[in-house]
Amino acid sequence: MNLRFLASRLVQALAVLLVVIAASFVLIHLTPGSPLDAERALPDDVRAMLEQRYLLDRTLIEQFLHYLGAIARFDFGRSIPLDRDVAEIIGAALPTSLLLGAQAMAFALVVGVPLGFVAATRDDGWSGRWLNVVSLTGISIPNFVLAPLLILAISAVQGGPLALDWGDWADTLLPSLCLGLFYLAYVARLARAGMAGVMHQDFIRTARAKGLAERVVRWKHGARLALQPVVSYLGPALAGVLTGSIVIEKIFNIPGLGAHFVNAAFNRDYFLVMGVVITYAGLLVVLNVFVDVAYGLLDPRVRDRQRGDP
Amino acid sequence: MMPGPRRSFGAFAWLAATWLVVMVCGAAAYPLLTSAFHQFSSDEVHPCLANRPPGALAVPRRTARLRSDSPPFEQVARFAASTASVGCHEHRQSSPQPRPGGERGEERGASRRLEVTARDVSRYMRHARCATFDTDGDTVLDRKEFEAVPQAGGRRLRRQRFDARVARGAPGLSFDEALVCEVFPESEASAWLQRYDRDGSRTLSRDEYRGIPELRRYVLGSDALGRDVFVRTLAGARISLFVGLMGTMLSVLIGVLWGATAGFVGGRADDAMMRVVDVLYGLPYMFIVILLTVVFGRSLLILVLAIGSVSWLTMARIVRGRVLETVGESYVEAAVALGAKGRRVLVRHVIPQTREVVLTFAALTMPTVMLQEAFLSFLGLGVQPPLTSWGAMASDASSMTVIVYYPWQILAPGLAFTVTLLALNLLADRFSAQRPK
Repeated sequence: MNLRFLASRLVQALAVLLVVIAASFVLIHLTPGSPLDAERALPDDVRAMLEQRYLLDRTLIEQFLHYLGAIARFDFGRSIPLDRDVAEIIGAALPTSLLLGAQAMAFALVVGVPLGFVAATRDDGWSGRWLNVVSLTGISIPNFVLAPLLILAISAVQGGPLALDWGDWADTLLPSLCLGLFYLAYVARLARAGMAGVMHQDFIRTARAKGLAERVVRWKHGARLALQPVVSYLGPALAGVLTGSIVIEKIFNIPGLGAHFVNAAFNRDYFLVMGVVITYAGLLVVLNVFVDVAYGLLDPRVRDRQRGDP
Repeated sequence: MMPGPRRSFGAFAWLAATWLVVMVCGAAAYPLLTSAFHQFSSDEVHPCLANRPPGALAVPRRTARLRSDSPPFEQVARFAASTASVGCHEHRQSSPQPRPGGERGEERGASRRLEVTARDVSRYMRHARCATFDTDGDTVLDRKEFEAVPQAGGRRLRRQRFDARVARGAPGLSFDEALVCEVFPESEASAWLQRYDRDGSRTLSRDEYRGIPELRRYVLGSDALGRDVFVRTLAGARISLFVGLMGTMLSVLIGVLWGATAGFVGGRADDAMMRVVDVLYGLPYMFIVILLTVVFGRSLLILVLAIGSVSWLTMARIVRGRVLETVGESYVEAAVALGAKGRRVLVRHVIPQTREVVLTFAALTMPTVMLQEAFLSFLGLGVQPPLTSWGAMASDASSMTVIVYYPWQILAPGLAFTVTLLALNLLADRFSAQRPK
């Protein structure tokens, strides 16, 4: 593993995270009124104490630096409408959202990539066109349409309304499916395009000339390269899964981070909003670093470039 | 997008284009529906008509129009005074029967009444319709006579029911059955009886009686507040398509300017501009957009600005790539050698060359922008009432009871949205496949 590359990517990730925190901080402080102006009227001495704790009477830079220091200690402040520490709220809700997102992503990759590879064998003619339209349909159904459609279908089959729960693992399947289906279709399209493009390349012909069986040729040598567009899409896909989970959590009543985020956005619960934004941004940048490393692992040519020019 | 042989602009793409044109026309012209076809307008709220299935007839209390063939008050009053029960085969009463409810007209004479009930009106309408038949109600009608009975149902429906009865072995329908089943279908009777009262027994004086209200039909059903789903879907189309188009145009504008400038100027400015794009690329932009709506409030303008300002990144990269290709061309060098200034060269020679990539990618950006707008509206952070968009409609209809028991509320906007996105994606796909690589 080329540590220089990894280190530089981590530094970049940290820089992006800082930009996010700064941008959110500035945006939040642009709103008129103080974060303590929530629905409840606070008594004066409590207000003074809170203002002192959050340095609301100092300059913006001082507040920002103080906030950064607090973030480093995982102290995201206190949610005033909910009367709980933001870090505690996030800690309780994050595993749920992570499970949902991870399952959706796993579903999209594990089913989508083989599907795309298999579909690459039929490129022309009517079956090719229909497959194209089917995959286009997959990326055209928004998840807040797909979820009710699936719920409706299952309820019709069952004969009664579905009981939405988040108890045992079986309950997590339908929400993950709804979240992941869009990305499955997209990944399948990318895999198909990648495989179809790879088939004509030189080193594939070499492998065929060496006498290897067609299937070995396709799966062993071609798959690696064909996965490239998929892996480079992983970054935006993860971002999309994180945002899409907000909608799915609302529809299926899942106690995840997205529900908290929307309520906080409505109630102008600044600390919770910022905490969630930072959490998501942090997750995203770290995962993007992993994606870059994976991309390097996949293609030796990129790896050389990474080693030489971080 | 898809490697392989060039696909011609096939059947699917024509279907897609047709759907988009229909949607745009419907969205632009939907207020005509309200005025020309006397349908519900998009924000007409009727709580007592909530959650009606598609095709339900209804009479909205406040905004009902009256039928032009409404009988005048005197005729109904006279009829009510002189008859005691339903059907044509009743014989005229020689003396008025004591009636429950308003008796105030009695002292004026047996044939005059000062008040009627809705039920009287409905009976009068049935009587008026069968005035041409002097039967006692038991005569069996053959098919031609059956078709001659003035009915409220559709022609095909009448024939179907008649055929069904005959197939079951009956010689035909009796006139009474024809009247009861077909002339005044149950739904219609109850629908317009609502105009006056639940069971039609509330008495109406001459001034209160206005006539028979015109029935309106909920083409795709009604939602939880009694609003017409079909008209709301078209109204939502208006906002969704508008935001999609405006957001795409904004992102194209910013992206082209940014990318073209970066590619053309080159050097350190180019590096800096692209570094900004890289940093912005890594941000979870949806959260920034949500933050923007928290800070600046929720309005249509903020929505368009926020979405457009996060969608231009890939466009900038693509335009920059194309500009870098173009700048090496000889005609650009020629223009510079002839003394053309930088900006002129940029605008007149370089930017037009980016037209194809820009169009292709704009066609791909529009579905993304529409999805973002729908996402925000779904969470309630996008368009605010009375404006509606497909995302907002889906949000209203996404609770379990509504999905299972009143599915039309989610199916109408959901399917319209899906088909529109599919059409856009299909056209973008075809367009990019046609472009010579």
